[in-house]
Amino acid sequence: MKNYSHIITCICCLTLTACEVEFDFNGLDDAPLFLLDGNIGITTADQETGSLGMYLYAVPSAAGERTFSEDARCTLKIYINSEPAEIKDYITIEPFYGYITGNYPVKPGDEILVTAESDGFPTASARTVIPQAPPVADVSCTMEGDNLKIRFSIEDNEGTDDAYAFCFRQTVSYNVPSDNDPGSSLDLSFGNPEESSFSDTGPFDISWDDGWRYYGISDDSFSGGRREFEVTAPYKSPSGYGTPYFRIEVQRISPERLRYEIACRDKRTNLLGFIGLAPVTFAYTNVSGGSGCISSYNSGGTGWIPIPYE
Amino acid sequence: MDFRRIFIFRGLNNPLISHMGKITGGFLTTFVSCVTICMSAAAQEDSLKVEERRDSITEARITAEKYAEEASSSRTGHSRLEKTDFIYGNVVFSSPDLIKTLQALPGINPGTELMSGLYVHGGEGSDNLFLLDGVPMYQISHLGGLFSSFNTDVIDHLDFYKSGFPARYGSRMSSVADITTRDGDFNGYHGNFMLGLIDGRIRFEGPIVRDRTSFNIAFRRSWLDAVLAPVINIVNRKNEKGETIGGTYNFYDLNASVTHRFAPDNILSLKFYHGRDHLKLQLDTQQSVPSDESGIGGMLSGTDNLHTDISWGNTLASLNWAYRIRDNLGMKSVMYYSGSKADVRYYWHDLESDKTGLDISMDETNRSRINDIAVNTDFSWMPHKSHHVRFGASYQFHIYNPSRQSLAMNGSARDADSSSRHYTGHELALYAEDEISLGERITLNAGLRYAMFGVSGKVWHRAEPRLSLMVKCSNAMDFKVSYTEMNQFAHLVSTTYLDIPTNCWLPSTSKVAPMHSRQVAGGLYCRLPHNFRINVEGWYKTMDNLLEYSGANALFPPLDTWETSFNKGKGRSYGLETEFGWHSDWLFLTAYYTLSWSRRKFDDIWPDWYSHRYDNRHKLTLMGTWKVSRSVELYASWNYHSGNWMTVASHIYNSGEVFDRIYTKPNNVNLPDYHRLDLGANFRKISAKGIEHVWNIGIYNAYCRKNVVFVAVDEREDKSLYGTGRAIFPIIPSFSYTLKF
Repeated sequence: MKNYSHIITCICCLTLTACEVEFDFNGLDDAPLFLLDGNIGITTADQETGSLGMYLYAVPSAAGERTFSEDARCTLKIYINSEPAEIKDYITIEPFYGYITGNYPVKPGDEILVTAESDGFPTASARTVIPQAPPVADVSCTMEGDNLKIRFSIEDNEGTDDAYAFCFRQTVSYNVPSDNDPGSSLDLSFGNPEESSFSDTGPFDISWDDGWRYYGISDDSFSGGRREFEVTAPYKSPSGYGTPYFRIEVQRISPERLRYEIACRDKRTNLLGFIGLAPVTFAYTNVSGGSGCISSYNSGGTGWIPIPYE
Repeated sequence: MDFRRIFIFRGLNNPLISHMGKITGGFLTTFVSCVTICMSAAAQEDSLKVEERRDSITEARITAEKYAEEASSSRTGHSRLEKTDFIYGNVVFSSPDLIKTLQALPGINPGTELMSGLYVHGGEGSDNLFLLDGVPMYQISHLGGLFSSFNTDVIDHLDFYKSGFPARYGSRMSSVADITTRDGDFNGYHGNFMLGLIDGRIRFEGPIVRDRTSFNIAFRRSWLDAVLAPVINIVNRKNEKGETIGGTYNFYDLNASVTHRFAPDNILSLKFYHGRDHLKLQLDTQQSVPSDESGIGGMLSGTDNLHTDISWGNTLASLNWAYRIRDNLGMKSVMYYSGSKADVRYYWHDLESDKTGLDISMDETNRSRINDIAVNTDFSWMPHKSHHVRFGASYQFHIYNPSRQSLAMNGSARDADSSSRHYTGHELALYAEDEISLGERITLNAGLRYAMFGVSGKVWHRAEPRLSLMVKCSNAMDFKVSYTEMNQFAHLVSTTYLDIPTNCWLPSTSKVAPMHSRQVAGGLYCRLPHNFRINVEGWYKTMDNLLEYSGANALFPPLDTWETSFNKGKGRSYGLETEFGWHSDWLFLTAYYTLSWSRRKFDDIWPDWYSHRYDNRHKLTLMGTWKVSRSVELYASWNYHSGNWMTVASHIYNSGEVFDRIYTKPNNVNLPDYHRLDLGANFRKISAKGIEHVWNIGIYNAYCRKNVVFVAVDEREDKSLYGTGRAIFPIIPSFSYTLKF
């Protein structure tokens, strides 16, 4: 709230002294567009099958028609290294705010092209390249009071534009859980209270929630080197019996995902940007002719590590 | 022989006669016959000394000097503004303004209305080097940009470069404004006093030791605080809600100089500038809230507070030494200190939001400091009539020291946070340039500047070639072309587009590369018969390593992560600017037109090029001054430019919530065009004792055009979007009285 007060105070002062003038915006496109927001990923366990999960939205223009014909259909095409992999030509537009999934034979370095076409819409297309396998993280942890302190490090590839996403998970088990055990989320704390309007991402560039909480960072500050992290997670005594475990899922992600998530965060909080008084960083997309983000990841991580809880 | 007055015209670098131009006035014959022109002194001092034999002259003016100076220069994009250029047409609240005068020039976008923005050839406001007597100044405006920091009373002239930069200038990417103040009169005491609507100025100059030592001191202060105080008192008396508002704003600046002439070619001067702004806002609200839900526990009383205290400004001090070593070799050396500070304190306390009696408060302080200590030495050597060599060196020691502290209290719980950055930077520059005359018609200026910047173990080396070529096509037409490169090692870290004291300067480091520009410019410069002139100049400029910070969440720059949390990008700008002018003895007409493009590419923001927010396609300025008589001058200027750009949602998939708006491109919407008309008049009266009285009446934005400063995006009932622009500055009449003695 603290910094919003500054902004609101400034705006109120200006508003009090201002004269209003209304006008229409010139230059707004009146055609609708497709918003594609999807991820295709492979895991270190299976480096040959990519799993796609994608939201597809047909979005009306702010300056044009707000409804779509009931007969309108969208054709979604997926290419792998320029070869058609799948065509879905049955997607209804009007009622569909849906989720599209699929599995494809891909490997690191493959280029995925996704296009969405329909009459009256500009063709939306986006490309992403499946990242190489993620680095292996060196991890250690200690309990400090009610907090689990996790220290880990990763080695970045030199000469490539990389980004990473980390997901922290916990579980309780009598035996060492299998790598397929998803566990439950282990949330980190970074100073600001939960109700704070500040996004506090600690040492990371951004965090986002995609069913799981992911913490993302680009290699801008440690390109080609090793980066060490120390994070804290409030940790309560596990209910039931068994040994508490945690693991870190490490994803090497295509950098466009990080840029898009940062843009989405800025869109929620850039109050001055909306009135033209601050840099606009919330319009990022890698979808040509549309909006959203098509990205990819290569997921690995640590095994389950016992938490030294007494 | 009774010598009554002495006129000295300085800065005459070229053959005297070309600058002499035309001495105007109905008393021309008398004037010429009554003066002694000290040619030998002029040759030595680059000045023309004219002594009047009898007190018959009320005015002498050299009108051709300005244009002759610019035309004879081999450089593109150079303008010289004299003191008189600041008086007409760019007067706000009856105060002439240097930066607003520059804003009218072609190739420059003024940015937000009435602010001191200067976006030269697609650059940013922080890319301009302002030198006051050779000393860089960081904060160039008062009152959020409404007034510039430069008191025009003490300014002698300004050399402004937007391309074709001489090698002696560096460390900024887009433009150089080299401002020279006047030395005090060595023979007589003079001064002036001005009383305007919200500010006043006083200046006094004269000899300390006649013909040897002089002083010049000027002070300017606003009195908006004096006007606001009774208004606030009245508002507080009438307020029955327990609210007390408080506030004050003032700025002042002081220019002072002492000059000593050991000999005509050996001059030492001490110059000082100090300017401050102070803004204080307070809102205190008496609160009385029940201590529990039932109200049985009684009432809690206290005060909610919202206090803001901001101060900012510059302090500059320099010791200048100009010495002619030999007839063809001169030296200028400057030792200086330049300091800039900005303090913002914000205090917020709330009782009502916590009914348990726990006070909640937030106390934040943001400090930004930059201090420079430096020495520059420039040599000017003419080994041959066809060579004019300049060379020199400069060393600057920079101290960057921004910091921020915050303390959040929630009852007994406290959350303290502080962050600061401290850098010391060493900037060394060596340069050499030679202006070579290749025959009668061709002049080539070739220069090279080497700059080295070291900070925190990282050393950046940069070589900056500077080339200018002038071909004299005829006596009336010149062709000029130039290529320049510039680097900038200081970055203004800001999360907004506003010129506010929360911004801070930070250096290039191992993670933040210096900004860099390349520019090619060329044009035709024609002096037509009957006092017409027309200049046409084009440019193409590229910029690399630009920084842009997200405006999300904060007015304060992210000090902890400033080296990693920026977006890095590049820019390009190109366009054509034209200047058309005509003048007679009593009427001066000027038109500037610019056709330009300014684009940006930040890969993390948008994968392709997009418009810069001040990508104003057309800019037109029309200015006229009519000297109706010796005592009445009328002036008018009309300014137009295409609208600025902003980012507006283009698609909505769940209308009504900002979160669901789709922004398909940065700066995708062109705002309404900007235009305004300013009118003014000066009425002069000169008494028998030579005391001059000037009454100025001005009208800013005479037809009350509502020019948009910022825009809220709203939805109509049919869900279409429209903009509600806020125009802060409607018609502003002003009045001032000036006394010159």
